[in-house]
Amino acid sequence: MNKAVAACADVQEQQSKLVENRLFEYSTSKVLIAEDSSTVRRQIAQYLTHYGLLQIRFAKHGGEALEVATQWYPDLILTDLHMPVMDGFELCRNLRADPAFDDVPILVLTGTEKHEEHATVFEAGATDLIRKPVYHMELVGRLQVHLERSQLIKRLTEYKEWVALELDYAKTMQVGMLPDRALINEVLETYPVDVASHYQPSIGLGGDLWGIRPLSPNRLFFYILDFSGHGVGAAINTFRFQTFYKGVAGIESPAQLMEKLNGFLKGILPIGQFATMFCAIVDFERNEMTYSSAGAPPTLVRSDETGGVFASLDGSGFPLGLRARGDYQNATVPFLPGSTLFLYSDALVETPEPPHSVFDYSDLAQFLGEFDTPQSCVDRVVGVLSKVTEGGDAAFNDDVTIFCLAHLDTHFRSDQR
Amino acid sequence: MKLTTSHIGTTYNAVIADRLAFSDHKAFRELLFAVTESGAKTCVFDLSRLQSIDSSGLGMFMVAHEEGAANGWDLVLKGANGHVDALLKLGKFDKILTLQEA
Repeated sequence: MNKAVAACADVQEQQSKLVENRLFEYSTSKVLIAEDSSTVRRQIAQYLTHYGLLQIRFAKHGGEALEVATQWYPDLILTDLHMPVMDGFELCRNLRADPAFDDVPILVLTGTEKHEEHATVFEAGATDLIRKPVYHMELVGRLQVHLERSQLIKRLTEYKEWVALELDYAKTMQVGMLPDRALINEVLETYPVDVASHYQPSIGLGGDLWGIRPLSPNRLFFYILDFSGHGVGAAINTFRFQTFYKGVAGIESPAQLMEKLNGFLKGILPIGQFATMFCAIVDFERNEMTYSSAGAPPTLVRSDETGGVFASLDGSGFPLGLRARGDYQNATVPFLPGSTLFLYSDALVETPEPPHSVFDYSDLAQFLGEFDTPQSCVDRVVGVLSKVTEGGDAAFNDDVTIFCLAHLDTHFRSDQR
Repeated sequence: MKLTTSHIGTTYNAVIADRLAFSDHKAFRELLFAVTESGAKTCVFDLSRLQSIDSSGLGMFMVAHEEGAANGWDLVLKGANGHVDALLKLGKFDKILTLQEA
């Protein structure tokens, strides 16, 4: 008999040490005990202190517990069910009504075996039940499980917040690469144009970019670019592009720029990554546009030459970074006053996913042609976006970039100023 | 991506259906590994039931092309149509990869 008792004590001692070791890392966790019996409060506190939990506070009823909780923000709450002033059910409901306690474990001490009451406790917001009288190994074991879970959620939340902050910062940097208001104003002052744009990364950061660069009082360069993929990887490639682009002192022609860019990207992009691009120079003295495309969605142009409808320019070409030689070609088309250009990234014709997308290439051209003329570029951009999102805030599953440029009649432009 | 594969003689057939996108990257890499492991000399991607593809999906074809060149098998893209065919032509992928009608 003595041997049996000794063996049992040994097992308890081993169990105790095991749990003690497992609770060690939670020694700074804050535990609130709500219990009207001073004997039970003292007993539980002794257990917790013995196993290394040092930050413990007490409440004699639910009301006091709520007050302590909202000031002290414990990591775990142990509560009795039947207490004066405010019982455990009410305490659970009040705590769960406060978002600050969404993830805080509430462990309810109960002496009843009634299943109905157990169900009500969980409905009120309890995380778990602990039977009374309290067996110290069960109490500590459950505490360990819930503190671990709580700490994991806390770490995950902190990590998510940190990532969101970093992404926000990177997003600000990326948006900083787009033409700012001062540049747009300079363009509007220098050239007989109306312009509008829209830029919307699908997940904070994107692989799209567009830009505009005055080359001379009569020549304006612009581009739209889309790196394969989206998100952080594609966004990093836009920064790489920007490094290249800022270093280009003079742009002789769109094809020449793309040939250089292709060489740059071929040297740094891994197999499978590439960029599509459309870029052009409008010469307002000659009333023509020279462009080149590297597999970009067909740019739409509306002019007298196209019979007043939006027609597609040939966008075919090797995407940038795919092969050593891009063989990019310049093409020149008339671009008289009254002409309008519409550049866009592929998300506009791939939302929702094909074959269910709102627009295919020809639908988009037709839709743009249905606008009454003259229409401002902003109207066209907003109209197309509203059509795709059905007027709501439906998210695109890829980055969206639109750039619209209209060559205004000089007389019309003067009237506008 | 919905994938069905078969290996007959020296040809590995992979029917790639629905949509091929960024999220399929891992499964696609496993497919390429299986092609190389099979010892096939030709790998045919049947795209006749592939309804849409994003730029990452197009990039995967380039990865497959390189993987085949490095491991002794040729890649054939067969039966592309609609949106997928339009994107392959827009990026002149037909000049780099071997495309076949259905």
